[in-house]
Amino acid sequence: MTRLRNRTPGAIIAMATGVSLLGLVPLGYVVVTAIATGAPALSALVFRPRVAELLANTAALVLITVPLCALVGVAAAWLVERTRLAGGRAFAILLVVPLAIPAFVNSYGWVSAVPSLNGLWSGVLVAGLSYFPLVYLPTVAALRRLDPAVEESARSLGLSPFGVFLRVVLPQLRLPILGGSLIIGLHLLSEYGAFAMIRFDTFTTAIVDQFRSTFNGPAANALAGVLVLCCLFLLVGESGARGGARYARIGSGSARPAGRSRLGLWSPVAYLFLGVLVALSVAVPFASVARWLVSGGFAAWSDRYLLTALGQTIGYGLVGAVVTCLLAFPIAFLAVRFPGRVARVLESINYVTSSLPGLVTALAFVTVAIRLVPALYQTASLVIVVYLLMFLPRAIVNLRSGLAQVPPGLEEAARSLGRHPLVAFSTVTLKFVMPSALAGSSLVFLGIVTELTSTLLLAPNGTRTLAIQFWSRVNDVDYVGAAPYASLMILLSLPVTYLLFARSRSERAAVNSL
Amino acid sequence: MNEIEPRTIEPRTIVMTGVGKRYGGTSVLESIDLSVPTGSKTVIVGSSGSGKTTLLRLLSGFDFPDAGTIRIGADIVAGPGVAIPAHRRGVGHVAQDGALFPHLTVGQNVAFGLDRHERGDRSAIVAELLDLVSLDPALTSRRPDELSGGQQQRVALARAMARKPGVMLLDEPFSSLDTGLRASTRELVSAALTAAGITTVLVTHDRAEALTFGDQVAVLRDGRLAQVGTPTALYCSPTDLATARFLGDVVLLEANASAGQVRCPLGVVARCTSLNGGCTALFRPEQLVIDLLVPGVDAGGIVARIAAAEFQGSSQLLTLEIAGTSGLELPVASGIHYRVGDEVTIRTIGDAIVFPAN
Amino acid sequence: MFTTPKWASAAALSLSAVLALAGCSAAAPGTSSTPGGKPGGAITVYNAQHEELTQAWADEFTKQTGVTVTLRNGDDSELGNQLVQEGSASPADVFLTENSPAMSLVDSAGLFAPVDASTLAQVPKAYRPSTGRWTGIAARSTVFVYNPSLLSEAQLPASLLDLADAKWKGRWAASPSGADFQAIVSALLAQKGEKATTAWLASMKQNTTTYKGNSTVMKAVNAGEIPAGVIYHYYWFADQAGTGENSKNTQLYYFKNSDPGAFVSTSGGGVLKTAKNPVAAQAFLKFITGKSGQAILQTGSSFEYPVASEVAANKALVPLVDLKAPVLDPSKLDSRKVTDLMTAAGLL
Repeated sequence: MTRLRNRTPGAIIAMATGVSLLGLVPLGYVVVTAIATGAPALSALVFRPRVAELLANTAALVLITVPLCALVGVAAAWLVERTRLAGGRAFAILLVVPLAIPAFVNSYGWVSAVPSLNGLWSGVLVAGLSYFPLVYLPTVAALRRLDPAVEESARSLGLSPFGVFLRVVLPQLRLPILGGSLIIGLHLLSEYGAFAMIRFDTFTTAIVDQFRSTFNGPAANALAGVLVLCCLFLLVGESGARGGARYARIGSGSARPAGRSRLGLWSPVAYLFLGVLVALSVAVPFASVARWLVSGGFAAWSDRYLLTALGQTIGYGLVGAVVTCLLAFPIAFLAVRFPGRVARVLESINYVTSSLPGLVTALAFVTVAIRLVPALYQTASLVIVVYLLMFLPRAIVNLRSGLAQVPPGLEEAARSLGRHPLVAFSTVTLKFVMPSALAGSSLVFLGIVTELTSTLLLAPNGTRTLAIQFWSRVNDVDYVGAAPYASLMILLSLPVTYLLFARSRSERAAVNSL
Repeated sequence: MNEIEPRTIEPRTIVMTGVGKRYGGTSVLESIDLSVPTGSKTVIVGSSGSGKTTLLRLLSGFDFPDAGTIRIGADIVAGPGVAIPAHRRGVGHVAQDGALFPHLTVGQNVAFGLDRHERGDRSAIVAELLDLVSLDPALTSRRPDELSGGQQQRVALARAMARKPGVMLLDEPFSSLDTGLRASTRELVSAALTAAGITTVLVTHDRAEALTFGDQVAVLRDGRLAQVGTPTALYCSPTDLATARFLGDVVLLEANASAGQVRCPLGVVARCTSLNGGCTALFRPEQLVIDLLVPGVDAGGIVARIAAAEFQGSSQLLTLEIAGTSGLELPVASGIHYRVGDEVTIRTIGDAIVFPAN
Repeated sequence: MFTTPKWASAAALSLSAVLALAGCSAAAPGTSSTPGGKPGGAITVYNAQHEELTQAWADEFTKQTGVTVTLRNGDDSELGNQLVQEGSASPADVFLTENSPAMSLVDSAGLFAPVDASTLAQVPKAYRPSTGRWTGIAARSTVFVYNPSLLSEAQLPASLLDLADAKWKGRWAASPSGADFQAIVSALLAQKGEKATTAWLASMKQNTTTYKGNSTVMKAVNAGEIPAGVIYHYYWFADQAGTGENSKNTQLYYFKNSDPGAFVSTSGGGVLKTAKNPVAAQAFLKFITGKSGQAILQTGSSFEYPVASEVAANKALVPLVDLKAPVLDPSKLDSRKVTDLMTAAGLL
């Protein structure tokens, strides 16, 4: 019995390794094409003014937007969780809603409202409003988990409420802030639609332009290589900033919620801040979509592809979510039951891969499919593979926390009662893991529903997802025709967003996996 | 607003007058009158839900009373129109789990409350404080999660003492420790506080802690103070049965009072003029001494027969029949092996405490 | 907790989703029609033309022949390069573009089958290459769209080349990432040579405000964000025929005089050698260049110029002959060279 439990199951290792090897394809592709292009040609493509321009744009975007998002996200989280503002709960929900609005739909909303938006600061505005919840949400979750006794101790040591926030709360929020900032940085690097619409050129928009002009030419690949370096730079930077710190809550603590401050004369300022934030991030895009929906009337809904697009989007979303969750399972299982170097390597490969822009992953698989596996080329299966690699960590993170919560003795108890190990596993463990599996799948579903760039590259002939149709309408400046697609994407995303909100308020972590 | 920032330890008196606190519609504390003399140690003991933590939070300034006033030293810190928050009270506070800052080292934790001008020689101050709570200065650079529970509590105390508070509040600081560690940590903490001469209030649900730690014990029940006094007074002369039970094991006997004498199966066990008729006589187990009956030798005392004996390790629980009526349960030391059917004599030491029958 | 019915319904949902996916990809591969007989089955069209126009062609063609048409939409160069990369593995039967350079690209890779003689017979020689491996299907003219409130008639440039002048800095817009503008550059390259084109692109990098898409350029000119832009004519006419919301404050200016800016671009169509359903593919091309296909250009909402079967242009348009376009061999326009030059100029 003991031997059986301690032996790493070969089949599971094989599956996990298979998925992780697949995850090496995009990085391998970038390296191989770089080598194939050759140093002189590559340096001609990389060391040119245009790349410097793109690098400056992209760096400025990240350096301005990320701190801004962190500031806004933490301030909003503190106001909602730690002050006695009336209507805090309503704000708590409204501040998550931007996650249900894909960045390119938000951009569409803003361009509709202010047509002259363009350039860096517009990019900062639109991206900031789309992404600040990625800091806000984990910060809320962390604030709720902090031991209030620690803050009280600081008070009794003579610190004012603000001093407590600065010296005790903020340092303990370092991990969620860093984690959220990293995800925002990666989103900024890989977003295409939102920036294309406001004419702000980043590496990703330039790669798409190159793709439009040359399919997967060497210039696109060279840019992709630089973009991948930017991503790796962010990953390394974040893990460096995180250091070895782990701020475990010491001791059991009580379930007592933390105290809330009275804002007194500052209340109007707080309301103004939250009000403006919600107005800009939720009201503006919603109002724009509503405006185009109204001016389109019922006619806009008779678009012949609307139902097809809805069906295909849901289909891709569901299949992608189920496949991703199934293939994430072996990796999560190894990480929880057989922690060690093998499990760690397999897991981190997938984190790195999913941090790469979907565009790069898609480019890699288009090329690999054409050259090596023509049977997969332009098939729905290939699209699912790329979705899998893009969104795998969302499933892994959730499955891990689910598996970790399974009481370890339970499965053994079932086996000692005469159940075959497999039966014991499926009757006991799976039942416990189902909620996490559902949460993970929902997040994957959300990702797929709002995925645009790599779907554009990979989709089989005749595919029309909501995002593709939306984008095609917007490109024809048919804002009215785009509105039904925008509203359907938001509607599909809202329930998952609510799930995220609910999880941020429960003890479960894993909000940080977007 | 009163700024209370003591630079040297000046122990202060705590006086609570008519303090009440409600949460929503529920009254948690009601008309609490308590004074803690300068430099003394008072233990507030009560079962969970009795309101003891709330009482401590009112003292520390994390919460404010709805009624009554709280005075610390010369200052009213809470009362009608006054609500001085925790960071302006100059009151030390040690939480249940120590509540050390997880992102700081032990040394940084201890130095956290030091004023800016004290920063210069802060490593010396930190070493001194750690020494005060009997901690190895080598721990200075450790993280809190690398310490044992007892060490964490002592760091928390050192951290609170760094502010040189006139009053120290301890919120069940030993309850999360193992039994053995609990007693030793308690002794170290108590010694450190005595040495510093700080006025201390400790909250606990542990009766051993209540009786050993403080100069004064206050029993809190359902939001009211049931009894306040020295540990001896409370243990030996509880004013009601619940307090008596709360502070130690009891042996209860049905009794009858008449003509100033209280009579029970063990004979006349107390004198009482205020009661008449049926009542309850209470002994602490250590007041009852039993000896195996040696035939022919009159050892004195009441003869009883052992109806049941249950081995419990260091003690054994005997069920005794006196004159054919069963029901007296008595824990005795395990040294002597009693068998069912043995006859014993019971002697009493001191008087019983008598309560009206309920 | 989770009971069996929820599992079951989730499984059923995913199963139906798989089926839906299978259904949409099942429509893609063409089933070949009876050899030499009437076209049937299905074809896959790599479509770089406006989706709306090709969809109108496809709908009418399906109505006439019963052949199912699946579109893969993209840009000229994207789809052209994609066809080259796919080679013989390509699922495409037909390739339609907005401009000819992408046709030349695919043709020079040897991927086109000869167009049926009966189709070629419908198209004047000026609108198809001498090789006969692809054919023109429509045409569009370069125009200078301007906002009269920001730019008087007297300030209009005489030639596209004038836009390289420093006084045009920040005053004209284009969509250089689109195949349309790249076709205009390819005409410039064919007419004036590489050196002049490189110089012109370098000054364009300085002067131009870039947008994504001709509609967006026109919208910006209309909104007064920028005085003028270089686009194709039909965006303006299509908008005028509709609400005029994005063009009502603008006017069109034609360079004429065989100027590079008077370039008329030929949209092409060709059948792939590896077409799974060559009969239907040839029939589709013949239909597009035939009377009813070209009539869709004349009467529909595309406002592109018909080029075959002697169908006249929409009455709203300036007649093709009056545009005084430079005479260029469409098969000589080089898209790869253009993207290389534009990449070097930092426009891509």
